[in-house]
Amino acid sequence: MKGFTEIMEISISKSFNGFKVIENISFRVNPGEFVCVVGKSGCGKTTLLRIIAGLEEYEGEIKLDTERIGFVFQDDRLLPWKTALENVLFPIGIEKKIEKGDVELAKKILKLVGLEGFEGYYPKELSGGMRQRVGLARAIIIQPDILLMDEPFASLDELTRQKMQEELIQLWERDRKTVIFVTHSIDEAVFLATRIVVLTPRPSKVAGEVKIDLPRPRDRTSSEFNLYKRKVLNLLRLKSES
Amino acid sequence: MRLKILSIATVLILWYAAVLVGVLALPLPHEVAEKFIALFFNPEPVLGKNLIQHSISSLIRVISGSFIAFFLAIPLGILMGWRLSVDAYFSTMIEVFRPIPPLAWIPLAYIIFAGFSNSTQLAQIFIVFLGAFFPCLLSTREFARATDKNLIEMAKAFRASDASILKEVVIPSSIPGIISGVRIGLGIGWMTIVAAEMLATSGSGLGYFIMVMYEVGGRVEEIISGMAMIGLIGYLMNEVVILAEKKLLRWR
Repeated sequence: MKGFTEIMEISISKSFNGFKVIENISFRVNPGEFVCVVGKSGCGKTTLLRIIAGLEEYEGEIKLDTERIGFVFQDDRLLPWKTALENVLFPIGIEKKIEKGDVELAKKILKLVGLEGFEGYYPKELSGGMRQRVGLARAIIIQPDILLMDEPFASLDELTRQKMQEELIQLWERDRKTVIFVTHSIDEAVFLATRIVVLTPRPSKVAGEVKIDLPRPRDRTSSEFNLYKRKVLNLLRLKSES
Repeated sequence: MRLKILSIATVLILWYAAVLVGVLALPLPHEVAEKFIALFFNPEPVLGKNLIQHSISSLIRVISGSFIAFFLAIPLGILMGWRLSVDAYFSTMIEVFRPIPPLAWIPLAYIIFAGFSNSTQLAQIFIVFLGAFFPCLLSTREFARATDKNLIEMAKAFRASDASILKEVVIPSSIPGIISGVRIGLGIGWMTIVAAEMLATSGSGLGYFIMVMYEVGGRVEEIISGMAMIGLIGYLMNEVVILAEKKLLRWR
């Protein structure tokens, strides 16, 4: 398997109908990093991910030497007529005929995200958290070199959200995929990230970066954790007021 | 269930009352029922066929006409709903023909198909085709067009080709529309066949049967029996499609 070994470099801007949404976002992502992008609602975080995924036109440059990109959406975007298992197999099925080995892999991944026994369930029969797990399984079945996550836990209740965060980190620690995770929750970013990129409000720029040097599993109530939260918050506030 | 029985009972009571009071010059329900049961299996002497045979004749015409219609309307509806350019090209010609009621086509259809050996049958199938085609097309198109854009974008994020998007996203999204299109199409096809059969010497068919029973001297019991058969079959066709819908759309 071709690994993602290059450093990814982004330097982009974006306008909608002559109106600048992204002034200039530029940052680097090292292989195996878990980068969280934090910013206020409407600052173009989602647009940034869509641009990286190739769903949107942009100005500037993205240096990324892979086509294997996994995307996890804020709304789960599962196909309602497919079962959990069939949804996970979707990215495989659009490329080739699904074989027995693919089904085995999909089952294994569903087990990995805690959905063993739910393979035959339709999305409407699953809870919000379970649907997001299926969405995550669908993104990792293609063994992506980079995983893009767009506020995937935003619509979940606090407890489910924390549980999902913990499980995501366990998964990430297993195979150290490169992740770009967009969120407006500072708590979530500090809990997950190896590095946080803070964006200013529209038209957005990078306000600053914060490297998180905390051992895992991280304790949300520790003073160091809160110190990092303060740091990120200051960056967000500073740029909002200026 | 109780209300269903009450609903039918109301119709029967009103029928009895209207006839007994004298405002409706018809036989009583139980007299018609007797005739209906008799005609169900025993041939009626004028045409020499029972109600089942007439029903089968009509059904063959309806099924041929509407299946040809569905065969064309479903793919066309999906393509029109998916691609605006396809829609723009076809919609004008469709909107020109759609407002013409299928029944208005009957005389022309008999002329168009006059040269064929089984001209009557062909003309009738054509009329059914027209009746079934448009509702199925419009319903399919509407659902194809309403395909969730977010799901299409999801597929694109996973690098799906246009063909995959069509197969995996647009067509499954259209299925509820296809099913209701088939249901409405069959219903309208069933109505048009009865009318088409009344206007030509078809030899058999429920519409033809009713017309002949009228022409040989207003045989009301036979006429109402034929009408009851039309209603019964229409009802059953609808139920079959609804049953299929429940099976096919388990995910809903």
